[in-house]
This record gives sequence, structure tokens and C-alpha cells, in this order.
Amino acid sequence: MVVAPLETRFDALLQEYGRFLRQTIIRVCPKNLGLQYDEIEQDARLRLWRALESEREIHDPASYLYRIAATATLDAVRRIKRKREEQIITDHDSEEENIAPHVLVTDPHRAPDREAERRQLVAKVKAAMARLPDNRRTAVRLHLEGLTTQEIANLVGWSEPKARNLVYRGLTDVREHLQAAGIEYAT
Amino acid sequence: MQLSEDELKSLWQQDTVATNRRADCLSSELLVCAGEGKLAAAEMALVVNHIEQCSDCAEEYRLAFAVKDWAANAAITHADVLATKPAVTSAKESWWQAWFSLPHWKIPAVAFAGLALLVVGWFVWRTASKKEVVPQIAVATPTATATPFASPSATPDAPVIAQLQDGSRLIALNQQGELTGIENLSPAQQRMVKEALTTQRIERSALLAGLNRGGSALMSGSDEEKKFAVTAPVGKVLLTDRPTFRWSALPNATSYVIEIYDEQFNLVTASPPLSTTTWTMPQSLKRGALFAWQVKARQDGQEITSPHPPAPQAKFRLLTQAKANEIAQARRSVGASHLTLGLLYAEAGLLDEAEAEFRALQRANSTSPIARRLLMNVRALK
Repeated sequence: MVVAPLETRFDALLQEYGRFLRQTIIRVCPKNLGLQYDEIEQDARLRLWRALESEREIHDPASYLYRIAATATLDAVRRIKRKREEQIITDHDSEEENIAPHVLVTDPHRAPDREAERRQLVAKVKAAMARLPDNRRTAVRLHLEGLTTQEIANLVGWSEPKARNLVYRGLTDVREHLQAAGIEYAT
Repeated sequence: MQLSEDELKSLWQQDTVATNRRADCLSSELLVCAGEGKLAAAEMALVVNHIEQCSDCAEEYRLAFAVKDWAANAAITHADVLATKPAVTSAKESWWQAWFSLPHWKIPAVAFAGLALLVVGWFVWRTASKKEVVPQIAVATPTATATPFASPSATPDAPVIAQLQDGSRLIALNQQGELTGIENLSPAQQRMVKEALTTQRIERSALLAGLNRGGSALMSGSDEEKKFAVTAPVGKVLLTDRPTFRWSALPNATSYVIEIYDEQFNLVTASPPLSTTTWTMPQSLKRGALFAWQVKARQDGQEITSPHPPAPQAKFRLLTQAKANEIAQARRSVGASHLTLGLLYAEAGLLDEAEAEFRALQRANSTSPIARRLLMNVRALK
């Protein structure tokens, strides 16, 4: 078989799938993080180039380019989040250096009793969760992580009605356990 | 106290924000595959288990899932478009153009002629290769878009079925079962590498038998005792013969004593009273043997032991001298081959070490399903 030069294959793939690649990036990328599509696209193209360069076999170009675009986007999301967290930590550290000690003590969000109360609450929620049957516990944990029942179903391999049912029953159980622990939990 | 569902969600997510710069998080590739619903059962279980406890990965999984249907439809649309266009891999495409320019009625005739040629060709090939020993490698035949790789020492034109960048090497296995890009391997190690590249699986080491904990050390006792637990080594095979023992502190404990028992529950050795929560043995333990250990804490004149029944025993096994020598030899001879070292570690039951090697391999081959599967596989064994 005659194999086209690397550049030719790269250009041909992008000519065919370039729009799909960019559309994937635009659709996956959250709009509130200020990420530049062009930068992500550049990264995705670089990954494609490296894949072709390493003689990788691409059996299903559309699926492969989708994954390259989606992973490049998620990696960009991670980078920007990490950058922001580091910025927050730096700001926080410099703030603390400049703030008088009494201000830190009176900050209600940093008050030790509030933190202790929060930890106590988390411990009670975890204890309630630990008493659930496995499937319900998985469903409730994923629900609390913000996943919809459709997303839970896709992830765990259940039908959507099953996921919905397990979330509903699991939350009912959690409510009962929390009530027993003195916490009124209203849906 | 009252708690709304939003407050509960917020509380839960605050508690599951990834720490440690997300070093332990799932790879973005894995999350994209999860979003597509295209993970094997073992991988899926691992992803579910992680997402339950990591709000960052949960959010990223949602991003990938949100475009699942669109991507599937768009991919199908592209496949339809491709079916009426020339393939992108060939520089000389005139025969493709000729094929597509044929009148429709001629296409079945040409296809039939091609099929007949294939059948005749297959019979000729079968007859010629009847007495040849062909390696039994279960792989998909590369498609027209595949780009065959042939190293100078491999059979020319034999298609590559697996390929990984490993340090400065490009390790490749072709369809003839020839391995290139890595030298200094014993025949057994060559077989091991070939098998891993072909099956993309790692078997559980026999040395791990009997080490499964089957539960948590935090299974019994008072709240305080539950926090007091052995940490490491638990359920591991160890390369060193002078292990370092770690445990979590018991509040107000005045001292700790480590006791190590052999398989017959004979006390092998014990530490002096310690004030720290870590202790490295000053002398060597017997290689190849299985041990159980416990820590006894003194608190208010009482002795508290961890692990405490019904929690399972904290067991570990030391690697045999022969296996330790083999690994030391391999480290010298194959140097920076993450693949070979990872497989040797996994075979020896050294799963932490194997995971570190496969993680490095995966980083160098971030889009390779082989590297990803090997890493996920070894993680699933832990």
C-alpha cells in the first residue's frame, strides 16, 4: 500500500474533520472559564500530529478526533482550574500575612466552631450514606455530585428509570437516617 | 438543624473536591470514554468509584456526557460522507477515483471479481503457509486507514498491531509476533511483553494470594478506635526485606509497639515502645514469607490493638530473593523501559511500583488505549 506523507495525511484528516474537531471543542468547553477555543484546537491538532507521527493506527477517524478534541478540552479545563486555585492560595496567603490576627478570628467563614459544625454534619451524612444498600449508595453519591439520572445511568450502565428509582429510594433512606440523627432534611 | 437538598449537595461537593493537585484523579481520556459509555466493566467500576468521591471528575464527566449524542450523530454523518469519498491515507488515489467513477451497474460485478480473487488468494496463502508456525495473536486486521510500521529488523511490511513510546524507544509488535525497539530481554520476558501488548491485560500475581483484606481496618470498636488503624504495609508484596510500618495515631496514646507474626502466628519480632507512628525494621525479615502485623497502643494504662477483630489481619509478603534479583537485573538491563519494568513488577505482585511505571508509560502515550488499559488494569488489581 502506498502511504501518503505525514503532512498529506494530517491535512487530509483536518480537511475532512477540522470542523468536527472545532465543534467538539466548542460543545465540550464550559463557557464560564474564559478558555480560548483556538488554543485548545491548537493543542488538539498537535496531539493528532503526534499520533500520526508515531504511526498510530486510526481505525475510526471521527471517533478518534472526537476523543482528541474532548480530552484536549478537559485538560485545558483542568489547567485553568489549577491556575485559579493556585492564584487563590497565593492571594489567600498574602491576605493572611497582611490581615491583623483579630480579623481572622472574627471571620465567620473561618471560625473554628463553624468548621467543626460542618465536619460534624459531613460525618453524619457519611454515616447515613454508609447504611444504604450498595446500589442506592452509589446512586445517591453520584446524585449529590450533581449528576442527573441520565448521567448516572450512562455511567453505571443502568436504565434511566432504574437510576431514578435508586436515587429516590436512597434519598428517602438518607432522610430517615438524618432525622434519627437530629437533622431535618427536606427535598 | 435543617438541611435542604441544595445544602446537602453543596456540603457533599465541598467535601469531595479533589486535593493534591488532582494527582490521583482519572485521566481526561478515561472520562471522555466514560461519557461515551465505552468503558469495560472493570474500568467503569473504577470510574464510578472515583466520581462518587471527586466533584471535579464528576463535573468533567458531565461535560463529556453532554456531547455524547451529538458526537455519535456527527461521527455517523462523517462516516456517511466518507463512504462517498476517497480514503485519506493514500497519496495515489487514482484507482479509488476510477472505482467511484464506475457506472453503478458495474460495481457489483467488480466487487464479485474482487471477492473471487480474495478467495483464490486465501487458498494459495493457506497452502503455502500450512506448515509455518504462526504466532497466535488475536487482533483486528488493520483497516485501510492504518499505517503499517516496519522496523529494519522486523519482517518487511508486516503490519504493526501494537506500538508504544517507551522512554527513547518505540516498542512495536507486528502481526508476525516480532517485537522491536527493546533489547536485552530474556525469552520469558519477551513472551511477557508480547502477551501484554496483545491481550492488553495483566493477570493478578499469584504472590498476592492470601493478602486480600476483604474489608476495612476501621470495622469495629469505638469512634476513637476506628481512627486508630494500621496504614502500611497492608495487603502488599514488598521488594524490601526491611519494611517500614505506618499507622494512624490514637489520641493520648503514650506509646506504640509493633508486633510481626509469621504465617503460623508465631511472634517473629516486636519493636521497642515507640512515640512515633512509623517504624522501620532494623533487621531483615525472611524473604518469600507471608507475615501479619499489628500495632498496640498504650492509652490511660490500657492496651488498644489495631487491627482488632472482626477487622481482617494486616498481611504482607516479602518478595523471594530470586525474584528481587531478577527485578534488580532487569532494572540494569532494560533501564528506562516502563513497560518491561511495569510488567515485571505486576508479575511479582508489586502493584504500587507497577502502577508508577504504567502511569509514566501512559503519560508518554496519552492517547494510546494500550497504555491506558494496562494502567487501569493494574489499578483494578490493587
